[in-house]
Amino acid sequence: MSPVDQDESEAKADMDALSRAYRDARERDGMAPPAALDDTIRAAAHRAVFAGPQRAGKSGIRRWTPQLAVAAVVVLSVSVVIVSIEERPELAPASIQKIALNRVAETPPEAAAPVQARIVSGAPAQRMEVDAVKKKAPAESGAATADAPAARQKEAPLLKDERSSALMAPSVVAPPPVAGAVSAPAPPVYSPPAAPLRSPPASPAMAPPPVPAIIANAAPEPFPAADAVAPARKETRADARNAAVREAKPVEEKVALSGAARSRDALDAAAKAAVPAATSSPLTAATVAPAAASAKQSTSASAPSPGASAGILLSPSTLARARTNEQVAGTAVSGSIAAEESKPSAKRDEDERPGPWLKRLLALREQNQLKELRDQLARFRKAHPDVVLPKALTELPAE
Amino acid sequence: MHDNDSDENLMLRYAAGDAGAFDALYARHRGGLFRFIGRQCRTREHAEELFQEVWMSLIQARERYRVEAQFRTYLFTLAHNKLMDYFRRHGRVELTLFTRDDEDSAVERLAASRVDEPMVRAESQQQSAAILRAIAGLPAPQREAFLLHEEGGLSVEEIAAATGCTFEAAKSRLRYAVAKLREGLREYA
Repeated sequence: MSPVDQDESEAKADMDALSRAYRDARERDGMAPPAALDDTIRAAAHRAVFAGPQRAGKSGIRRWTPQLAVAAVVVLSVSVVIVSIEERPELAPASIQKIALNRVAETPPEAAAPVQARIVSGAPAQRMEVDAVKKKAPAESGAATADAPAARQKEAPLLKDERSSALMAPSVVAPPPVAGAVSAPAPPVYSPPAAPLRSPPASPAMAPPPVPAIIANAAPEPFPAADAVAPARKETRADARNAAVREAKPVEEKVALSGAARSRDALDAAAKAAVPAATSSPLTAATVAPAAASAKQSTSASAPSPGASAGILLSPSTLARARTNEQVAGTAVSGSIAAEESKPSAKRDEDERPGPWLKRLLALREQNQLKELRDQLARFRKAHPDVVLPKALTELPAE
Repeated sequence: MHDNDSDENLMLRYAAGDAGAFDALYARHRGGLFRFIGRQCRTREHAEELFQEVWMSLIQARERYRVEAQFRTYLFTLAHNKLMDYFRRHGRVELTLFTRDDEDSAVERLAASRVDEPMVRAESQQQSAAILRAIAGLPAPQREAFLLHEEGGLSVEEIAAATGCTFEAAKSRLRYAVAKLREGLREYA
């Protein structure tokens, strides 16, 4: 027998002896639960049995808990994805973007407007920016003329959209448009190209359409009447979108001009940037020109987006902005290059631009042809309600 | 009727709705479980309270009972868990003989009867009192291992399972307990 086995056997013998001693001790001790406690426990056991199945409802819930948990996770995930795509469409995969693109292209303009409004108002950062601009604008328009409130009212919807679109591209940020720019405006402040809020810089398809040079305190171009826009809209939206992106050439100018003359020069520069595109396709101009006009109103010069020609991958929000620009240009600004293109005569376009038109008005004023001047001025006002008139034209002698 | 049934069958029958099966089960284990708890508690009231809690836990868990081990292991595991909660609330007690004022301790009762009994019985009672005193003086883990072995009839493996320790630890505790008890009972050997 090995020592280990011997130890084991000795331990077992000790254990047996202790067990006998302990059994003897516990018999003498007589420690036992009281009878009342026995009755209590037995009664509880019997009650539990006669009470029926235990927590049947709870077990039923437990049986469905995994399925409910999975369903809740799925619903929440889908909801988050849908909300994310709605608020930031550029995050969606290309296939979903194409679907959204087609949907936007097939949607009539009346139905597309709420969609665009939802997209514009969807991003909190952009809403904050727009609100900030709105608050700042009244403070800076103290020198506005009597026409300024009306002009601002018409300009407001456009401003909102342009501000939001201006957030998406590197821009020269200038003070908001001052309707009555009699005093010398402050030079535009250049801000380094900020990362676009919605579209990543690496994605050229997401970039907003290129915008020509923007002039501080610039007046809009002499656009034809708004009723000329309607024929231009007969073409499909998809054609307009593709042509706009294809034809638009980026123009990067930072102009710091002041006064009406400088505004006129800048207007010409902006118009030249838009006209080549307008000559190729009416709807191209219809899309590009409002961008130029609205950019002027927003007094911010957007840097060009080199890869903006990939029109088919434009995000729905970009398309909606372009469409809104077009609509606003046709209604609020009461003139657009689209309307201009619909006219047969290029000379008439030239005549109705604010710059030459103002020159003619000033010439009439110098010639003291007041009746003709008033008629022309009324037409001018109707065509360009937001253009600031020179002092010589605002202070006409009474009839 | 239930005398020949195993503990596990009785518990399964009770879970199925046979109240008589519980009575048989209770009768089998009430003494051992009460002594296992009572020798580790500070007072008899605490022992009775814990004893009732253990059986109530068993009653409430009857539908979840599965025969994965011996019923005794299951029952004494419940008791061990209740005792751990009790120790957390009151701290571990080294003297587990009841100290209630109106109740003499088991040792005192056994020793007091020595005068009236014949010599042999008196010595046996002295030995019983000594072993109970020695058990009370054991460290708590060793005392618990010894009581599980004696009152529950658990093997070393079952002691390890009930107390949540390794087999070697349970074996070591039991051997140390036996050695100390033998040392305390040497004069009666």
